[in-house]
Amino acid sequence: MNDKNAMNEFYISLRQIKKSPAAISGLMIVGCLCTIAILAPFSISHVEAIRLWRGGENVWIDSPKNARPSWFQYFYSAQLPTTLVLDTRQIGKKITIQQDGTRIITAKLQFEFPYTQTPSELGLVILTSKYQNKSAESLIMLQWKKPNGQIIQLADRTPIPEVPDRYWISADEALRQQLQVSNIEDALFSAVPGQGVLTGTYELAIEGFVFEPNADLDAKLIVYGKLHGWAGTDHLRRDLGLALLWGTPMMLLFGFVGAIGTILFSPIIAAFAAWYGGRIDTVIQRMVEINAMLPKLVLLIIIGIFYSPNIWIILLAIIVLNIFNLGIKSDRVFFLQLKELPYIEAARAYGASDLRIIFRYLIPRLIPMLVPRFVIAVPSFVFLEASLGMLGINDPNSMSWGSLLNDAYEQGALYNGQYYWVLEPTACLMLTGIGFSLIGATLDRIFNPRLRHI
Amino acid sequence: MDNLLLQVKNLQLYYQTEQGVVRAVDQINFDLHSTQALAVLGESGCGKSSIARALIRLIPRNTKLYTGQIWWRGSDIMTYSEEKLRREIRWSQISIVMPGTNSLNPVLRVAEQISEPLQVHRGISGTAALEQTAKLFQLIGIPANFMQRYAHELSGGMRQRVGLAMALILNPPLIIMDEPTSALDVLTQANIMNTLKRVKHEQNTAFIFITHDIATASELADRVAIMYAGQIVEISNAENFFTTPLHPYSQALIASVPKLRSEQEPQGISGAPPNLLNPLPGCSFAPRCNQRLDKCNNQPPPSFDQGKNCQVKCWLYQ
Repeated sequence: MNDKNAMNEFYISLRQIKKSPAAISGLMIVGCLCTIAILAPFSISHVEAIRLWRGGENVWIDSPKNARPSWFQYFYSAQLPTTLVLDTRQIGKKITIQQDGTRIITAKLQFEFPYTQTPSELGLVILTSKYQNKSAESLIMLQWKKPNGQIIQLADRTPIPEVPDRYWISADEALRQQLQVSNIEDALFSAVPGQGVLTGTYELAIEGFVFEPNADLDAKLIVYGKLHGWAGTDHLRRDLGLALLWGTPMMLLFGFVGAIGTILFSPIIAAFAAWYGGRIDTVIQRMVEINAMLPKLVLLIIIGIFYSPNIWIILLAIIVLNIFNLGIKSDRVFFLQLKELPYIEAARAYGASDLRIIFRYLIPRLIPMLVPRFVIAVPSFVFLEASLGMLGINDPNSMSWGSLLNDAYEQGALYNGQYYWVLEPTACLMLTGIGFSLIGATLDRIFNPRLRHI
Repeated sequence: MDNLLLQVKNLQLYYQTEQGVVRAVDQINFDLHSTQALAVLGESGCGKSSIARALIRLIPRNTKLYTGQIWWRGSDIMTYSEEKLRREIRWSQISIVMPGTNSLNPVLRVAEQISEPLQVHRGISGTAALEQTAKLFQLIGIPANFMQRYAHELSGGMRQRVGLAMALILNPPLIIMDEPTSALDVLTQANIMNTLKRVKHEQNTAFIFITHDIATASELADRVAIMYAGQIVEISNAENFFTTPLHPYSQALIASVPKLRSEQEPQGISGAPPNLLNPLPGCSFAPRCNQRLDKCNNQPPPSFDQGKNCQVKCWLYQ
């Protein structure tokens, strides 16, 4: 029938949004964030993400420490090394059996190294070494061969059974003293330490002696690069991209729930105050004023430190602290004007109950104003969560942009030149803020005619 | 005149203002039978609208005094609690058409708005309510395709008719209309008056019709009450009143109506309506009255019965 007519105003509002470039760019930003937030759980489940994020070195052994994001390459003319992983299980090994039953397992881990910079670290993990008898320990001898033919003998290892044995070649003190260098990679990757990196084929020759018939050996060499992923890694080798990705749904959810929780209550409370007036009004007014005096951030920090850093408990606390927010004052003024209008009196005349008038006659009038208020409130909750994270109130079971900032601060990221670590979460927060503000400002102009020509 | 519908006894409604107490409704008495139409006539500010509000207890916050008896079919609704009044009287028994054209909820569609009383009182909603609403639309003469519009998409006359439809939806025995045609042009007025007449005949509804417009009142009224300074100065049957008004104020009021094709000039009343803050010791019309007696200045006139259901508050008819 005439639904078209009735919907007109809505379409006019939409058309106004279309006309505003600010709102369109805002919508695009928020749209991207929402898409990322929706896709994040599909690309990697929350449980898996938490497991990885809290996994430490067992999980992240293959990624470099404090590596720059891969787009850093654009700022350098020279190629920066990336991580190489060489695994005997893939490359293959040779087993020869001596007459006395000793088995010699040899493997040659060869790799091309075309870069002019040394890798950030070298590590060897002896993955499996099976033997039963303690007195029949395996022995592994390691030999490093540079492209120019120089050979460096690395330390011998006797791995413990069943447990992966990590040999940080870069951190081998004995080797450092033997080579008389400050930086082991320098010695391993150049002819004379400090005089340029040798490019070409390197080789790590592994020779393992095992003394039991079914004993075995496998090893993995990791040549850590200086670049990793699109976001880089932190001091625990974790990929920052994971936290940035999973931070998006967490932050948006936090922002949306917080904004809804706050915005839902204030018009209802304000409508009750304005409609009933008298003592109810006075009590609500005083509650709002007392609430305005509370140091909310401090309270939240106290809850986070002494009670629970759980993000949802903190969110609940935020909503509770925001029930009697200052918005009630302005809503109440609006309702005080509204309740004197003839249509409210007409509603009383036909016997509408107080609740019906409040929920069907007063509050719907405020909804247009709630839309921009909601959109603008979302980033403020995102920022609040980030501030709490930054101040160290981190939920160990969630990844947030604020906790990345906290890590970066604690690890002295800026002092060490790892500004990507600070910039990435900051950029995410700023984009969120800008996106929602652009939409909110436009909606405000549409729904609040008084601002239209400002 | 068979059964008594409404009997108002000594109804008083005073407002507290910063200047003092305003006696908006002062000792009002009248009866109303079912299917009767009572027109309440008077100047602006004489307390006409206050009567409407007092009858269904829609009194403002600054009410100083609200007393009297309102007998509705044998029970005094003044003694009802607010909740009982809301559930049992408002709209289901007495409905009201509000003055002006902005007494509709701007965020409800017209059809939802009209069916609101159905939901409130009968719990009917959805298609059943919509059906009843559609019937009413036919009755009040608005095309059915306007049902899905919002109030601001209708003209003033249509909004007034929607207000009327709302008043009719529960089929109440009495509808109070507070200046239902005051803001409308003559053609729309005529339309609404015709609608009202049709409703009166088809639904057997009683009306209290509050207006300052004598011409429209004469169209519908069976009985006429003239208000002056918060009091009913004359109440009588319409046919008697329009031919032989008794009270000097009524006579002046009739004389002030312009007549078509007549040399006779409409006569105004000299002086200003009295201040309701400081009632005069005698008859409140005395300073403007051209048939004033001596005792008019210091003795308020009681109601004198003139037969044929006619009462006048004037010393001339002692």
